[in-house]
Amino acid sequence: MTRLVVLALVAACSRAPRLPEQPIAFNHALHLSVELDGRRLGCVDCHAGAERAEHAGLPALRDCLRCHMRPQLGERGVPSEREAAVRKLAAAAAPTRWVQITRNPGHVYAPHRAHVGIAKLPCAECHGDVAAWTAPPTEPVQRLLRMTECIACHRTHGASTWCGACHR
Amino acid sequence: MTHRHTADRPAPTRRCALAGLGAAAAAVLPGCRPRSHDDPTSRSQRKPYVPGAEDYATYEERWFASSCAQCPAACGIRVRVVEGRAVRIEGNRDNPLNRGGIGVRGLSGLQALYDPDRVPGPLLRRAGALVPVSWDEALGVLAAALRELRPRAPERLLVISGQERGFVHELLARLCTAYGTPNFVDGAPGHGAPLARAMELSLGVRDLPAFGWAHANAILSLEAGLLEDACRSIYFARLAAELRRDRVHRAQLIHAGPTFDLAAFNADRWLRIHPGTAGALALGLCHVVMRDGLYDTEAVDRAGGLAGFRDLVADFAPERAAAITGVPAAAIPELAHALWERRPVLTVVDERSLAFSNGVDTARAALALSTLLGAVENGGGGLRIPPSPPYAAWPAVAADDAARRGLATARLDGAGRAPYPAARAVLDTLPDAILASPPAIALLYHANPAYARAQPRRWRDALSRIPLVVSFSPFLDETTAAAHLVLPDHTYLERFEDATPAPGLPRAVAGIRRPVVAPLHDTRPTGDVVLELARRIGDPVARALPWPTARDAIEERLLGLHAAARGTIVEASPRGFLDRLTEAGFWAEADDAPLRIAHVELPARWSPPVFDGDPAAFPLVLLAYRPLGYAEGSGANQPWLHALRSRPGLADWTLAASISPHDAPAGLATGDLVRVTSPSGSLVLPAHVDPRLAPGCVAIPTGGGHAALGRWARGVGVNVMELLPARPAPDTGASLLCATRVRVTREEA
Repeated sequence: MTRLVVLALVAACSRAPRLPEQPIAFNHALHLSVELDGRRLGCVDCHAGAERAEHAGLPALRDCLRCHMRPQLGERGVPSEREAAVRKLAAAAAPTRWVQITRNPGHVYAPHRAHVGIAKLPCAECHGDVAAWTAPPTEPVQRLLRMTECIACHRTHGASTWCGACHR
Repeated sequence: MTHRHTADRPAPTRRCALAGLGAAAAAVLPGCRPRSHDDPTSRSQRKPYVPGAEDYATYEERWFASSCAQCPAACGIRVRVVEGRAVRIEGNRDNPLNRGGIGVRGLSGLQALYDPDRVPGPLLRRAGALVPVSWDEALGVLAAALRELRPRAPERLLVISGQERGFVHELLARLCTAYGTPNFVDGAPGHGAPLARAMELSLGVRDLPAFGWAHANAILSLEAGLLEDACRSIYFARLAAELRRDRVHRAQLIHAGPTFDLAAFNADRWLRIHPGTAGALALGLCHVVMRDGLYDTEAVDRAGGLAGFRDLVADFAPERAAAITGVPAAAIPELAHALWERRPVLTVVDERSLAFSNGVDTARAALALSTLLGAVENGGGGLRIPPSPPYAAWPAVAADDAARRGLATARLDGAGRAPYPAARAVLDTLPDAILASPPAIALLYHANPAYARAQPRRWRDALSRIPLVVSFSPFLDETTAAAHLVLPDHTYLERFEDATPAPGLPRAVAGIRRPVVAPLHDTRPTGDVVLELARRIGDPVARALPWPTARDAIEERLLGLHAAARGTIVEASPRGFLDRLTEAGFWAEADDAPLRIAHVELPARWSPPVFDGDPAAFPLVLLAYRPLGYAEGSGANQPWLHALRSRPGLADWTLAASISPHDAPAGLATGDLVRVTSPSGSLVLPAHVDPRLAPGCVAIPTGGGHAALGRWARGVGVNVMELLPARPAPDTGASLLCATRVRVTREEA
C-alpha cells in the first residue's frame, strides 16, 4: 500500500508542467507554406537573430503586422480568429509575451549564430520538426539534444569538442 | 561490520513506513515545480521591465559601438543589448586606442548603469531632506537664483567640473564666460599638470607627451603606474604585450619604483627606489651617458641650457644617485649602457611619478634623458607631441559689461598668480577660499570633492557654507548627498557626447558616446540642462548657448572632422558623416601624426620631494595610489571592482595598508589592524606586510571609506584622503597624492 502511495505521488509530481497559453495560437506549418515576394517564408523571417545573434529571438508584433495589418486569411474566406488576435494585441499596445518553448540548460552556451549563421545547420537539426506544428505545444520541450548528440555533430563538422566551448 | 549491522537492523514498523513516505515526498515534491533550467518562462519574461524594451522583439539583440567613460582613456566599446537591456560591454576591435582590449572598469560599466542606488530624478532639499521634484521646478529654482545673482556679483558662481575634456565640460566653461564668472575649476587638475608644465618648460608645448611605442626596444618607467591608474593603462597593456610577444627582438620593460605594483610585476627588471627619487635616477643615468660619451650629440648640441644641465648632472655621479634613490651604485652605469645599446628607448613618467612635490623636476629629468638617448626627435620610437582631432570651433562668446566685470575679478582658487602662476586650476586651495568668501551658487559636474580630494571634511565644511550647491551626478555620492539641488545626468550608456581620449596617442582619435539603451530613470543630459538654464537666464547668456540640444552643439564641432575630409570616415554630406560616425563609435587619423618638436630646453635643477610632518614623529612616507579598479573612488559603487585583487598579495573587498617588514611594528602580521597617523588625520585599517615594498613607505589605495554612493560603496575600507594635506604643488597647483609622512602603530581589534 505504501509503495502504491509513493508511486502515485511520484507519478503525479513528475508530470511535466503545462505551458502557459501563448498570446496567439501560432501555426508554424501554415506560415512556412506561405510564399511572400516570390519565395517561401523561412524560420529566420520571424526568428531574426538565428543567423547573427546568440538567441534566435521571437517575433515582435510589428513583424506580424507587416502582413496582418489587413486580413490575409479572411480574403480567402477562411475564418481567422488568430489573425484577429494579432490586431487585438496591437490595439492593446502591450508587449507581446511569447512563451519560450525550447531552451538549453543554463550551463550550455550554444549561440544560434555559430550554428545557423556560420555552420549553416538547418534549424530542424536541433529543434526537430517544428515546421510541422499546426498549434503551439501544451507542454515544454524539455531538452533539445543530448550531449552525446552535440559531441557527435561537433566531431562530424570538425567543431571544437573542448568542454569550455559550450560550458562557459 | 556490514553484516552485523544488517543483522541488528530492527524489523520495519508503521512509524518507519510513515517516515519513509515523508522522506520520499520531500524528495519528490520539489519536482512539482519546474526546475529553473526547465522552466520555459524563467528567462526573458521574468526580468524586470526596462524602458525601451517595447522596441525589441523577444530575445532580439543589437550591438552598438560607443566609447567608455569609466576612466579618461575613452576606449572604444561595443555594447550588446538584448530586449532593451544592456547585457555586455566589450572592447571595439576597430578602435586604434584599445584594439578590442578593455579594462576592468570598462567591463563593469553595466553596474554603473543598473546601480540600484542611482538618483531616480531631480531632487530638492526641503526641511533638511532631498525630496523628488519635477524637472521644471528644479530648473526653475536654479534659473531664478542664477538670474538674481548675475547683475550683482556673477563671480560668485563657482563651477567645478570633474572632467578634463569634452564638449559638455566646454559648454559649462562657456556658460561661465557668458555669465561672467572666472571661477570655472577643472576638477582634475592634479593628474597631468606637472607633466604638461614640464613639457612646456622643456619642449615649449603645454601638453602631455605621446610616444612611438611600436618601435621602442626598451621602456624605462620612472615610477609610472603604466598598468594601473594611468589613463593609458589599457593602451599600454596591449602595447606591452605587442612589444614583447610579436617581435623578433623582445623589447624590455624596466621599471623603477618603490612598490611592487603591476608595472613591477610585469617588468623584465624592477629597480626598487626610494619614493619620489625617479628624477635623481634619470639624472644619474644622464651623468653616465654624458661621462662616457654615449649620448646623441646632435640632439644635445641643439638643445638649450646645456651648460646648466652639465653642471646639474655633474652632481649626480652614480654614488650620489645611488644614495638618493637606493639603487646600487654599480647598477646605474650598467643600466645606462644597456639603454644606449637598446635604442630607441622610451623614458616614461606619468601621473603616479609626478604625485610628489618635485613632479615637474622629475618629468624634466626624464625628458632630458630621452633627449640624450635620442628619443625626442626620433621618428620611430620617440616622444612626440600628441595631435588633436580637427574639431570645428564654436563662435566666440560676446561678453556684456556684467560678464566683463565678473571675469576681471580674481579667481577663488588663486590659479594663474603666485604661488601658482602655471596653474589652470587649484582645487586644494578652494575650501579655505570658500570658507573665507563663500560663493552664492556652486555647480558640480561629475565632481565629488567632499570625498575625493585631500581633507574631505574641510570640503564638507566649505560646501555647507554655500547657499545653493547643485550636483549633476547620477549617483548619490558624498557631495551630491549634501547638495541642495540634484539634477541627475544620464549615465554614459544613456547619453550622446564626444569622447576624446586622454592625450598620449601618436594619432588623433575622436570617440563618440551614444545612447545604447533608453534612460532608466527620470534623468537628463547635463548638456541639455546647461542649455535650458541659459535660455531661462536670458540674453546674453542664452545668445552664447543658442543650440536647441547639447547634441546639436556637439555635432557642430564634430563636423570639423567632416570638413577635414580625411581619416577613417570620409563622407560627402555632413548628415551622412555624423550617421557613420555614430555607427562606428569613433573617427581616427589614418596615420600617426608627424613630429612637431622644434626645440628642447634641458633642466638646470632637481629638488628632492618634500613631505609634511617631522621625520622623527612620522618616520614613513605615505604612498597613496589609485588602484586599477577604484581609481579615485568613483568605481566603488560597482561590486565587480571590489572583487578585484588590484595587486599581488592583496585581498578582495578590502583596502589594506602595505608596509615593509622593516617598518612594521614587532609581531605584526597581514590582516592585523594598524593605525596610520599623519599630521592631517588618522585611520585604522588592516595591514599587508609586504617584503617587496621599499622600506620607509606605507602604501594605501584610494577608493575606500565611502559614507555615501550606495550600498556597494559604503563600509568598504577607509578614505586615505583624510591623511593627505591640502597642500598643492608649487607653481602648477597640482593635487599631490604623495605629500605627507605618517607613523604606523598596532591597533587592537
